[in-house]
Amino acid sequence: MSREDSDGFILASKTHQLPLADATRHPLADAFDAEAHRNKATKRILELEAEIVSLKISYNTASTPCRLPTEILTQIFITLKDASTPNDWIQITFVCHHWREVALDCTSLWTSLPMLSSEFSELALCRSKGMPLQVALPGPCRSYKRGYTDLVNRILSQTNRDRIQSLTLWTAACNEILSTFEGSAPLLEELVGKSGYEVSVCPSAPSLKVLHLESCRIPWSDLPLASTLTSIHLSNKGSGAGATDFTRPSTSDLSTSLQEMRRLQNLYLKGYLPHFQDAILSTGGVAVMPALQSLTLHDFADEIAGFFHAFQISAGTISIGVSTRSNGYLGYLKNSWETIGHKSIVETGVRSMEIIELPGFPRCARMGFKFTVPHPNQTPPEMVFKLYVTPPPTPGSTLHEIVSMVASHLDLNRTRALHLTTESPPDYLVDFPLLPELDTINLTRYKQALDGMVDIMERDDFGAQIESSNSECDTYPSKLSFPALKEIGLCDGIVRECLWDGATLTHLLEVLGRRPALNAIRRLNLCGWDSSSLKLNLPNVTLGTSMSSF
Amino acid sequence: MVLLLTSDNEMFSVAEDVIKRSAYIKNMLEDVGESDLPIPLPNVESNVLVKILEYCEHYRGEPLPASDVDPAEIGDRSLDIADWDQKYMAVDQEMLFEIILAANYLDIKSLLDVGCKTVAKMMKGKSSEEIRTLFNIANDFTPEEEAQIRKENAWAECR
Repeated sequence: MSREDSDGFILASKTHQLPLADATRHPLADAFDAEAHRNKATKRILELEAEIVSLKISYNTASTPCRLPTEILTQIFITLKDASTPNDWIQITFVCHHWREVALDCTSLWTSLPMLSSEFSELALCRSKGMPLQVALPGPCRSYKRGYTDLVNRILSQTNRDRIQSLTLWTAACNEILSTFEGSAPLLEELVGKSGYEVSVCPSAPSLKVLHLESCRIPWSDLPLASTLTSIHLSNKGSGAGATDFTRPSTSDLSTSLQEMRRLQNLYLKGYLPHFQDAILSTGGVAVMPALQSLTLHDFADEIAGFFHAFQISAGTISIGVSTRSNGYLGYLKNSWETIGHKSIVETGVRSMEIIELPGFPRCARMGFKFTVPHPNQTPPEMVFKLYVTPPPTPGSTLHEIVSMVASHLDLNRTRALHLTTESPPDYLVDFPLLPELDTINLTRYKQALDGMVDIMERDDFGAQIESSNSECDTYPSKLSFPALKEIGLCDGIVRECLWDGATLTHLLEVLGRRPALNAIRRLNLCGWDSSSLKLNLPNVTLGTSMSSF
Repeated sequence: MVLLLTSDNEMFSVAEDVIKRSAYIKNMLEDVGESDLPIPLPNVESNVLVKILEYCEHYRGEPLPASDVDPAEIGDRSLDIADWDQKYMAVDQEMLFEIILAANYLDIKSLLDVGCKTVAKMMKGKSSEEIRTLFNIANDFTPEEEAQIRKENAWAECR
């Protein structure tokens, strides 16, 4: 039926062409022959079609991309998949037999279900062949609704695969799917959701390792709090001042849960702490989370204090954000700090301090601090302190007063870095010039802080310097502000403003140039501005174009 | 210097720190030690090796990727390609695939990654028919198979 030519291609044989039917005979004369003829022709057509396909497959073996080893073709497909949507990259499965086989065999292509189409998800579910799945309903899109709830429920209920690595749900999808899910998700390892709605049901998930829910308002008792959990991130909708009561656990429930989660490494709770009145009535000091590495709490000061009364944390890095419960934030901050500080959660030095003014956010005042609870043999912890304040809303609560009040409660002797984003008059800076270890100051957004800093440094008294002996140590001035300062960073906005008025940078360079060699500034970071002209004024200073972070 | 012998019997003398970007050659040099004998590269022709060496020379001195890292993890997930790499890959299709094959054979992960990205970028946003035309691939599906595939992927048609 076929023969091969000199190149090895399969060719249709001309010797096997069928004869044409005889048109001169009566059409009904021998119906049996006509039927046989048609059958023969049909058979031949099928043979030729098969040969054509065979030829095309043979043709494709000479095509360069088809000659690539399967693992490289797979890598190309995965690269394309990671950079495009399913209805784009799915085209690779329609190109030719070889590509289709490679794509269908590559389970990595089918284990991420972005759920943009339930039809694609059904396909992927089938082609992923029991491999771990990553299911995601991204973004606030409305087109997912039809059939997705059932599909997700079906995926979560599966038991015939290795595991379901993650389920990510955003906005309304989270609410709809979690609210209607009635079964259990035996293989689910990571649940990430963001709702904005009140959700009352969550899947029971005995294999869950990571639970991350934002703005979900799910009552604590309905959360899938498996003992397998290593990371919990719960952010209550309207946490802080707007935190709803029904989502907060009782101290007893929280205690029971945390004691069961002996593998928990990361705990983030925003608006999910028990009420202070409840916590303070507990016996207190319950040891929990032996594997803890990181604890972050955002709540009112009372609730945070209550948490540390009720529970004992043996180790880990602790970050705390304190929200305001009432107007008059000076009093609030003072009370908050005293409440938390006097509960002895922090008896530590501040390593770096950040002060940020938030104009346009009335009644907004928050403190944030981060410190590490050391193991018994470790050195005392050091803290990163953040203070967010609005410009003074009432007389008698200037930034100067707030900073003075907060600083009076902190040990700043080992503070090495100061980051200021403040518009207020720089008089609050008087609290910082004598910090003995402060070696870095970064200033962003507002030039006023730079003016204030230069003013303070300009008032340094160098009178005794000339009269003292020749040794460098003896030239140490009687009063030097920021004695350990080595590095100053200015954001590009401040640099632009300085260049515009022309005088500030010159003034800064003059003042810096007057400092004794021992206390000289070693690095000046001018973000977004690079010029060698400054080199002439400060030959020993390294110029950078980005600020150091801390 | 390291001697390399291509499939078309051309000999190349290459600085060791240049060719060590190839994990294959690097491992071979570590295993065998210094030798005056050339390393045969039966899967690489001289014109392709010239291109490969151009790449290695350009990235001479840059840190080598850790050998135990999965390339899928180190490569970023976008199709962004550095300017120089884009110009380097601006070759005809035959050479592009030869570079990819050689990068795979010589185990130069970063080059293989750039090659795969270049091909993926060529395919992005194209229909199956356009991809066939691009790479000179024949549609080898039977009409029945085509109908079945079209039915199976009707959801993707609205693109």
